Formats: sequence, structure tokens, C-alpha cells
Amino acid sequence: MDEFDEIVREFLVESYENLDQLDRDLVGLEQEPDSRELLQSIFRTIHTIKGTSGFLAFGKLEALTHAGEGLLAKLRDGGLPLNQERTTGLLELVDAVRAILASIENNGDEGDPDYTDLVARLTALQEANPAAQPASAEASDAAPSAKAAPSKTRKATARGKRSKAASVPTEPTKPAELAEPSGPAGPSGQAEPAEPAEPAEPAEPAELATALDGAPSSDSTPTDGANVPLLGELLKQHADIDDTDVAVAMLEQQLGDERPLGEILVEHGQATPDQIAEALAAQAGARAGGTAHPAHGAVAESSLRVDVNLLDTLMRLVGELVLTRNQIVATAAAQADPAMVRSSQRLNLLVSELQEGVMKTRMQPIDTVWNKLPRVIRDLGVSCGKDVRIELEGRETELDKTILEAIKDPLTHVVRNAVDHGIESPEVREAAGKPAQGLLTLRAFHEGGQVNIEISDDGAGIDAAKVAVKALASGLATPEQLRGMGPREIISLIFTPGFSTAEQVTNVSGRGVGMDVVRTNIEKIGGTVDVQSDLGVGTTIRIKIPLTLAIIPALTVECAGERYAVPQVSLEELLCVEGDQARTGVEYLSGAPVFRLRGNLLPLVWLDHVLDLSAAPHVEDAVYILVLQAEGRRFGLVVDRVLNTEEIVVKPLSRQLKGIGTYAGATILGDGRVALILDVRALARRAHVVREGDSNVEGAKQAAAVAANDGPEPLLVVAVGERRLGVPLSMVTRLEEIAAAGVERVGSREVVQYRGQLLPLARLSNVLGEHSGGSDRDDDEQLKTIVYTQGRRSVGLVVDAVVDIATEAPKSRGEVSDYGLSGVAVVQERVTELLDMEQAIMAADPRFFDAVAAAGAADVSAYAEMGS
Amino acid sequence: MESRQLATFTVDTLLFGVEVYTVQEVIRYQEMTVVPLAAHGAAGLINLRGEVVTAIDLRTRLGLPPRPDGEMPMNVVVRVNDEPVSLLVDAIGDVAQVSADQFEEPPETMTGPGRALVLGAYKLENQLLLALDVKRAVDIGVAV
Repeated sequence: MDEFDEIVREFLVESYENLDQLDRDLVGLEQEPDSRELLQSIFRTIHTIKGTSGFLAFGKLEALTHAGEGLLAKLRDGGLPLNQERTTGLLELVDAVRAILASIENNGDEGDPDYTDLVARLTALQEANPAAQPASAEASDAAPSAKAAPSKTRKATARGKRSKAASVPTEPTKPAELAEPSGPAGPSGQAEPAEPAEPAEPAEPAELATALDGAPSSDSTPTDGANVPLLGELLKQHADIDDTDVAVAMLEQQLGDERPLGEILVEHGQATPDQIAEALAAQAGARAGGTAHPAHGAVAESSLRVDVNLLDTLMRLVGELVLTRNQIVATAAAQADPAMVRSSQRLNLLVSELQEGVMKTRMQPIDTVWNKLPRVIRDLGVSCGKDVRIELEGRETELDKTILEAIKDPLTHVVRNAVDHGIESPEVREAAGKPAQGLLTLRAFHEGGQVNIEISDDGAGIDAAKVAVKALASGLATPEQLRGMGPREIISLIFTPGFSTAEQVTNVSGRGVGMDVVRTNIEKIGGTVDVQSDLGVGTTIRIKIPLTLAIIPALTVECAGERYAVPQVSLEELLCVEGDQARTGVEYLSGAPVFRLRGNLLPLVWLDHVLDLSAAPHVEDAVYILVLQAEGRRFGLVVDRVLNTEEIVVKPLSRQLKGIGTYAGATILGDGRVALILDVRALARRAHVVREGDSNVEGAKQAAAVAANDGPEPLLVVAVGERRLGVPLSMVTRLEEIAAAGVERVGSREVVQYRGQLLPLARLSNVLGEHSGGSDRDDDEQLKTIVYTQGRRSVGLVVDAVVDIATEAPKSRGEVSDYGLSGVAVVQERVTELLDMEQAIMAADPRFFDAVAAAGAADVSAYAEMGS
Repeated sequence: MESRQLATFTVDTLLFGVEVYTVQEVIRYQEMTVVPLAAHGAAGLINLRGEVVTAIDLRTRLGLPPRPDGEMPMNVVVRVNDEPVSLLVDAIGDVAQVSADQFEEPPETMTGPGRALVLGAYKLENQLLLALDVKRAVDIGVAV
């Protein structure tokens, strides 16, 4: 009975959709308990599932939804207030229904779990006074059977009566007649069916009228399945079955034959399985049409379900079309035929539109994933004793379907973590001066061809020190490694497999799996995750994902004669360094090339080196640098030429080449040639630049600012004469080269014009008494200067060379009493003197600290003390 | 007597054969995109009607001297594990009908890396036809 399976499948699809709606409605209802509209919507949903499950002979499901429907009917009619207990009951009902549906989907039956308890509870909740529970539980047993009996009777009477229902008065006797033979011999058997039939009597005439005339039934909602034709009727229309056959079969059902009507008819040889299936399909169709949500009616008419496979095929074809378009446009541009050029331009436009359209068919708003979250949070909040409000911004942001599926689990996980670990309990929050209700904000927005999702909580934040201790304890990092890390990097350890800071393992999270899976799943679809946390203020998890996987915008570049594509997603900016700068712009920090980008040091990577290509003679008059970001860090990729930006279709690499890891795939360019797509993250790793703090003044400084007391303060190591000096990186605002010719004298001090201000200079060699020079200066010299700015005042400290940035903790420290030094330590295996910044700054500008706020000065001495 | 059909091609002086049904198509030389860092033997990527296909140079795989300048290889596209892979060969031959009684284990005279890629040899009238182990030939992760 494949077609029967088809019907069940339809039922499942429809029910799942309904359940999603239900979750939303129920959580909404708790906020707005008086909304009749929501209640009505919930009632309809449950009612639809009940109807169909009864028809498909899913008894447990029917009993369950029936009990729920009863409760809902009372709530809707205003007889009962909605409290948390009832909401929980209803949500459990939804879960149970989901579980049964899952079982039907996987095993074809309703599964083993017994839901009689839940049914009893739902029925009990129908009582206005919860104290009367025991009694109501009994009543609940009776209630469904009372309902069920007349419904069968209704069918039987409708079918049983072949002549027109002439006299209503005779009807009430009908059920009794039918009931009599149905009961097994014995007094108890007789008593049972008679009882439930009794209360149903008054409704009987109306129901009969429904069955015969199709008029709306009085006891049901307007959207009741009143217009759904009964199976028997359909069979009479579709197959050669007469009323007698159906009536006989109905009677057999009545007598205890549990099988669906269709099966009985097939067994009697009165209908073929195909006929039954056809009738069932017709009925399901009528049911779907008849019970459609009125508000959705318009939508239903203007939209249709399409198989995702078909969309995938279309997407693939459009991908090919885009490639062909690129080829034709390239060919046409090379020819001088204006007609050809015109057509190719038109083709270009059309294909772009088509591509956009097809991509849109696969796009769904992120709300399809988000709409489950309010429920998740509500349940979690209840079970953790936390009060959490969720705010969703940008619910309409659209994403490719496959990507949505892929982020569903990671997103839920992050949200659960935020509630479980992030947001504190109301008491703790109040003690910390925060509102008792925690706030979880989810934001989604498009940015640069990517979708950003931010999950922010206003909870306790992540304590870098705790993370470090935990990482140490679980052997995920060595003390040496930890010393080399900034706080942000330490917090990122939560993405390491096997990491959990939860002090107690709860059923929600804290089992040591999770954030690593989140990261793996996000990265699998070409996205990135990072975390930012302020202790006591909250945590933000930022997820960046591509809009779609199949077609991406990319920049094509050339290196050693081959072309490569770089996904635009990773590209921050494009630099072309020409002329003198090309020769002098690139500097070396301990052998690692860097480029100064607006005062920040950008580590550089030559693509030909990374790819191990024979280095073509470098064109010295221009250097092209792609500023790329990977895993939250930036680096510059040096290429020979920058060619074009175009939309490329990502093709997977064959098995033989997947292991290389440097490529994200391949694509076919406009001229038909294959080009490799660079995997920026892998490149960064290959180039060993993905380490926070490494030659990245800005990053390290931010880290230092957040670090406060844990984690070593990165030092800028400079050379003055033969001496190595360490300067706290937080005291370095910028590194500048200042032409010696521009240095002027004011009294006994040196100043230089810098950004429209006078910058007082101090030569550290003078400050430290290295030599008293300064008279025999070479005016062509460039003075390497550390600029420190506080408020509106800056000073410059001239050094002989910038050596490196040390992120590791100084090994041993000693004290010195020399002027200008705060101590001495071993940094990077070498003795390094620690500069007393306060004294050095005073040497340049004795009034520096008078001018800045006292707080600022205290800050400086704090840093100076750090060194001692 | 069991007989099979082998599509034949030459690489350097050797005549090779692969089961006809594994061959998807044979095409003339295509422009190739070199894949830096790829294992030895992966000659590059070709565009096969919109599909990106890896080309494996059999000369490199078999440890034979590189193709003389100016000679263009042919692509024998075979399907391995349901994925197309192109074998770069010197020239295409006929389809040969061979039977099991002509078969022998790899000849003793054959040495070098190529030996691991050969299942055995069919003794044709005037030449030996080496049966190529296609799966191993395209598995460039494995050193031979």
C-alpha cells in the first residue's frame, strides 16, 4: 500500500508544520493569555491532527489529541484561566504528539510509550479546581470513550440508514440497537456501551444531519471536518461499492474489528487497495482544504510545495548557465561585433536575474529556525529556575535552506548554553544590580554577502581565568601555551573539544561536548564563530555564515602565472603599494614580514611561498596585498596581480586533492579554465599567522586592555644601542617613522609636527644615558618612534629599532635602580630591560601628566609597577 | 573461454589496457590548471563540460621520463568510485579482445614504481599488453 504510505507522509509533513505553529502559539499564549485568536489557532491545529489520526487509525495519537482538544475547548470558551501548569501540560502534549509522529515516520507505528498518564493529566486540567483531580482522572477515562462511541455510531447510523433519515425521533434508539449486539455476552458488557451512548443522545440528530446534508455540525468549530467527505461516500463514488457493503463493514468495525474500514472492504473483495487509496487521497485533500487556517488561506493559494531535489537541480543548472554566461560575455567582449555585445549584455542581465530568482526559491527566513527558540528558552528557564526573555531582531533575514538546516542545531546549542551558563538566577542578578529577568538577544543581518547572527546574553560573562584553569586541569593547554595567549584567545578555548566550564553537569549542558561541535558545524558550511565576553556584563557569540554555498562572489588574482579565486567573504580590503613604499613598506619583525596598515602591523604572506611555487621575479614597483581575515585575525596576502571580481560556482575537489586542505574547491572561470579557490583559513594556518597577538599591535592591545590582571602583558621589544628594552604594549599607541629632518627644537627639547600637533620627542638613548649624541644627526634618517597618546596629548619615544612583540610572560625578573628602568627580565631567552614609561614620557614632556586626568596617570604608574 | 575487452593506450614505450566499461570517454589534450602542493602525479585540473576533473599523469605515476616537449598527452577519462578521473597518456590504441589464458602475473622484466600499478600482462602476438590497476593508479596519496 505505497499510496497509503504517501498519505501518511503527507499527514506527517502537514502535522509537523502545524506543530511548529503550535509551539509559537503556545508560548505566545502565555504572554497573552486572553488571546482568543491564539487559542482558536491552537485548537484548530490539535483538532486537525486528531481528525486525521483517527482516520488513519493512530489510536494513541487520537486519544492524546482528544484530551488536549477538550482542555483547549474549555480554555477557548473562557471557562478556565490559562496558568503555567496548563501551558506546561499543553506543551507536553505537543512533545508527545511530536514523539508519536517521529515514531510513525521512523517505524510506521505509534511506538511503545504509554501516554495514558498525560491523557489523564490533560483531562484533570480541564477541571476548574485542580483539587478535584482524582475524580476528574476517572472522568477522563469515561470522556474519550463517550466521545468515541457516538462518533462511530454516527457513521454507523449514517451508513446503516439506507432510506432518507425520515424521522428524527427514531434515531436515538438506533445507537442502542447497534450497541446491543456489539457488547460481549454478560451484564457488564451490556451496561458499558449503554452508558456512554446516553449523554450523546441529544447531539445525535444534529450529527446525523451533518452526515446526510453536509450542514455544519453544531458542537464543533467552524473549521471542523464537516466538509470532509466520509470514506464510504467517496468509495461509493469512486468504486463499485454500494451502501450495503459499507454498512456491513462499518458494522464489523462496530463489532470490534479494529482494522480501518478500507482494509475490511478489501478483505471482502468489494474494493481494491487502489480504490481505497484513491478515496483516502481524495479525503485527505478535502480535509487539507477544509481545515486550512483562514489567515493562511490566501498564502496557500499563491504558494505551492516543491520538492527540494527539484530546486537543487535547478540551482545546479543555473550554476552551469552562469558559467556559460561568463564565457560568452568574455568571448563577446573580445569581438568587435556590436550586435553580439548587445545580446551578451542582455544575456548577462537575464542570467543574473534568473540566478537571483532561483536562489530565492531556496531562501527561507531565519525565523523558520528561530521560531522554535522561544519554546526552548521557556522550558529551560522553567527547569533552571531562571527568568529569561528573548528578543529576536531580523527574523526576516533570509538564508539558503541547506544552511538553515545546518545552523539549526548549533544555534539551539548556543542558546541553551546562554540560558544555562550565561544568564544567572534571578537572585544573583538582583544582587548584581541587574533586572531579575535575563535578556537573550538574537540578531541576524546581512553584511558583505554574509549573514551575521549574534547571540548576546546579559549574563555573567565568561571568566578567562576560570577558562584557563579549566583548560589546564583538563590538559587542553599547557601553562606555556596559556601564557602565550591573550584573554580572547583563552576564552576561545571553549571551542576546544572536551571543554566545559559548567561546575555542575546539568541535563542541559556541561557534558563537555558542545561548543566544539558548534564550531565544527559552522565551519563545515564555510562560516565562522567567535566569542566575546565581558565578565559580569554578558557574552556575545557571533556566527558568520555564507548566504548560499553554491555560488559565491570571489576575487580572482594571479600568482606565478595561475589564477586563484579568493572568496569575498574573507576579503577586508585591497591594497596596492606603489613606488618607494613598495620597497620600504614591508618590514621584518624577527624575520616575519609585516606591513604597516594605518599604524597597525599587518603580517604578510606571499601566496607563491605558501603554495611552494617557484618565485617569479618580483615586480618591485607595485605590491598587491589582499587584507584577509580568518578566525577573527587579519593578515595580508601578497599576490602578483589582482584581476576581477566575479560570481563563481563552487565545485568540489576530487578525492585525490581534498587532502591538501589549502583549497576550498575549484571553479570554472569565464574562459573555461579551471581555477582553484583558496581556503583563507587554511592559508592563514599554513602561514602561521593565526595566533592572537603575533605582530598585531591592535589585537594584542585590545587583549591587554581586557586582560587586566590575568595573562601576561605583551611587550614591544625595541633596541636602543646594544640594549633590548621592553615596553608594555598597552603603552604603545602607534609606531611611526619620523623624518629626522622634520625634528625641530623648542628650548632644550625636540619636537616634530605630527598630525597637526607638536609631538614632543625623547630619544631613549639619551634618557637611558646610552650616549649623549644628537649633534651629528643624519637628516635623511627615519626615526623609529613609539607614540603614546593619552587624551589629546601625545609623546614620541625614539628608539633605534623595533625588534618584536613578545606575548610570553617574562621568565625571571630582577630589580634595577637605574633611571628610566622599572626592572629587568628574561624575554624570549634574552635579558631585556623594562622601560619605566612614566619617566620616559616625562623626559619628553615633563607636563604630560599634569595635563591628563589623574586617573590616567595612575594607570601609567600601574603599568610601570607591573614591570617591577 | 572467458574474454574481456580492454581499451588500450601507450605511455612511453609501454602498451596499457583498462577494462572498457571503466572508460567514460577519451578526449584530446585540455588546458590544465596546476594544483600547487598536490601529491606527485596530479598533473592538474581540467574542465570537462563544466565538471572539474583531476588529471593524473601516468608517466609520473609509472616513474617514466617526462613527455618530450611539444608532445601533448591525451585524456582517458575513467570512472573510479563513481568519480571521473582523467589519465594522461601518450596515445590511444584500439580496443583489444583478450582472454584469460593470455594472462600472466606482472613480468619479471618490469621493475620500478610502475610494477605496483600493473595487475599483469596479456601476451599479444607481437607485444605485451599491461593491465593497469586503475584504482591504484589514481590513488595518488599512495606512494609507489
